[in-house]
Amino acid sequence: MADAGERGAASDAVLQVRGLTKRFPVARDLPALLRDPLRRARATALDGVSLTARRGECVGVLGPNGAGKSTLFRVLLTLVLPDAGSATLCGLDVTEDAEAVRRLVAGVSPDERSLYWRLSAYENLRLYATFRGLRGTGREAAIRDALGVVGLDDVGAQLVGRYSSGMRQRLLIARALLARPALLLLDEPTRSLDPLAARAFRTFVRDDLVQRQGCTVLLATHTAEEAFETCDRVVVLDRGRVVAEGAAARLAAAHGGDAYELWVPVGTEELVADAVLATAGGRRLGVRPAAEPGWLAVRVALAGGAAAAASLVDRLVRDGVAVGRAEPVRPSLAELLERVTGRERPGAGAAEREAGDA
Amino acid sequence: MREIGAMLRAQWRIALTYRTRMVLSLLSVLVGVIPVFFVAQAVQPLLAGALVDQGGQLFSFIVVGTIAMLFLTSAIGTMPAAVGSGISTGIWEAMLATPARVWGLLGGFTAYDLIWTLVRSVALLVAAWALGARIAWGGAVLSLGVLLLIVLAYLPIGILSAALVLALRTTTPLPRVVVIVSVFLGGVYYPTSVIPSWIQRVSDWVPLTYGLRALRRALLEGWTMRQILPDVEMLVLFDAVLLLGACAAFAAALRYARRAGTLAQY
Repeated sequence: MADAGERGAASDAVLQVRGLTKRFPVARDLPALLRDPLRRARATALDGVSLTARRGECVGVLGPNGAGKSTLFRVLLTLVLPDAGSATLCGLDVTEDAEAVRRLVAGVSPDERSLYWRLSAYENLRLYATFRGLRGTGREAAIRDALGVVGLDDVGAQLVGRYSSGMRQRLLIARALLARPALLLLDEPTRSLDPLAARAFRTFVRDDLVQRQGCTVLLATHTAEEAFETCDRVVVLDRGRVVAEGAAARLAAAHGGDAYELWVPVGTEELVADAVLATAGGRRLGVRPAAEPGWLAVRVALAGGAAAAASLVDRLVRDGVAVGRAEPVRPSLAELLERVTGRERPGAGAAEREAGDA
Repeated sequence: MREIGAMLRAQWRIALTYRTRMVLSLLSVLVGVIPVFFVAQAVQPLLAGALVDQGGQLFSFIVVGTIAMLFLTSAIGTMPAAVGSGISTGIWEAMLATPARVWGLLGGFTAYDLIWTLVRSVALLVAAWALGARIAWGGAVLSLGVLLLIVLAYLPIGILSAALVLALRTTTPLPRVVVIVSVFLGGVYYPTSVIPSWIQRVSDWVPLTYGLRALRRALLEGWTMRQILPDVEMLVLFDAVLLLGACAAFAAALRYARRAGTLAQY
């Protein structure tokens, strides 16, 4: 973004995180305290996290709950001091140059209560614009722009208490955009948005913020659509460590395998199962009734990409099985995390077995 | 100053959405002064001798004590309450993530409440005057200065309590103890000369003792700055020592909260 982004133009890497480690003290119960009064219990939130983000890049930060995403964001927002490692934003250290870093970074937390509900949206933004050092016509223009971007310009004079949850979420986003930050940290920004507003916001982040204005965005999300469609790259955290990193599509392909969904007529399951087993790396993932009566949607994993898929379809046709549809399927975020972190989602195994048995 | 100005505006806008509360807050002050007037009239003969040099009238003596108490409770209580609720709502974290200065934010949390206390105090004083309290209006400006020094002597307790909220998630009994000690030993409702001599020695360590004496002499007797200088000097000494200590404690608590990662947890 304009001013702040230019400061980082000297180096392409706006954000550099190296070996960031943070352990929080853990409160112990009385018996444990009596047994060993000198021991200091600590929980690891970040364990040597390293990552880089370039100017005008959107990096997805994925991971199960407790993976360390929020702690990473809080360190970058200068709200938490790291125990070890470093993080620099446009060459400024988040610990040593905290005050200067705060001018370059802004975050969107999903907590609506951090707004003043008895103030209008305009007044909320005016307060934070002043904190950001904006004054006069510049402040008014920034507020107008921010309200316009999130589609609240018509209701900016209303008290925030009268807003819906989604509108408050949009106001939180507007509050962060006031700063015209070099680095924008979005922590589940579309959690309370309706699907249309969420899509519009993703388009805004990708096309306007990132591509046009060159803002660097770190996006923590639990939504596959958001991670794959908005982010250039994703970083997967688990138990405070980076367990996978790369282009979103490549990571999905690497860890999700080449998954395809085929529509075949009901009653051809056995023929399909044989054909899948005969194809390189073929594995049946699940079967469910398709959207049209008389058809089944069979989900399969193949090792050979498009060539393997073509070979499978060819084999099915030769066996007399009509193929109504054959298309690649992106793994869900839960599946991806499960494979990357090696953890199983609660209840996931049973659900998938059920799907497979259907 | 920009933080204080912005927070003042925001707090005023919020207060305007609670108009009934504002009116009731003023009315409670005005209504509350009436029973004080009658009780003071009844007790006046008993304490007349002890009120020499401090207005000579128990009613005005208590009214000035009450005004000082309003400021004292505001100075002590507003900041920890604001920081505590700011932590639990996430407002504090959101503000600390901006380039706003921490001291500006703390000042902003407190300023509106102190200004509103001033408005209530003026209403109380005018109501008391209408009921017959003897006020030396010529000493009003000097009294404002003394009130400021009283606030600056007790604001450090508020800062210290806010630091305790940051570090320990509780204000501890500190604010309550300070208010109780100040009420009993600072001469809010009766002159310190009527309390036993050994306790009077303790009251020498209470800033309100000096503040109230100077305030009453300025506002009720019309004494000049030169005449109240010894009490003012003691107040300034308290202000300097307590403010320095409290600011250092708060800075340490903020560092601790950043290390422990508890700015956003309650």
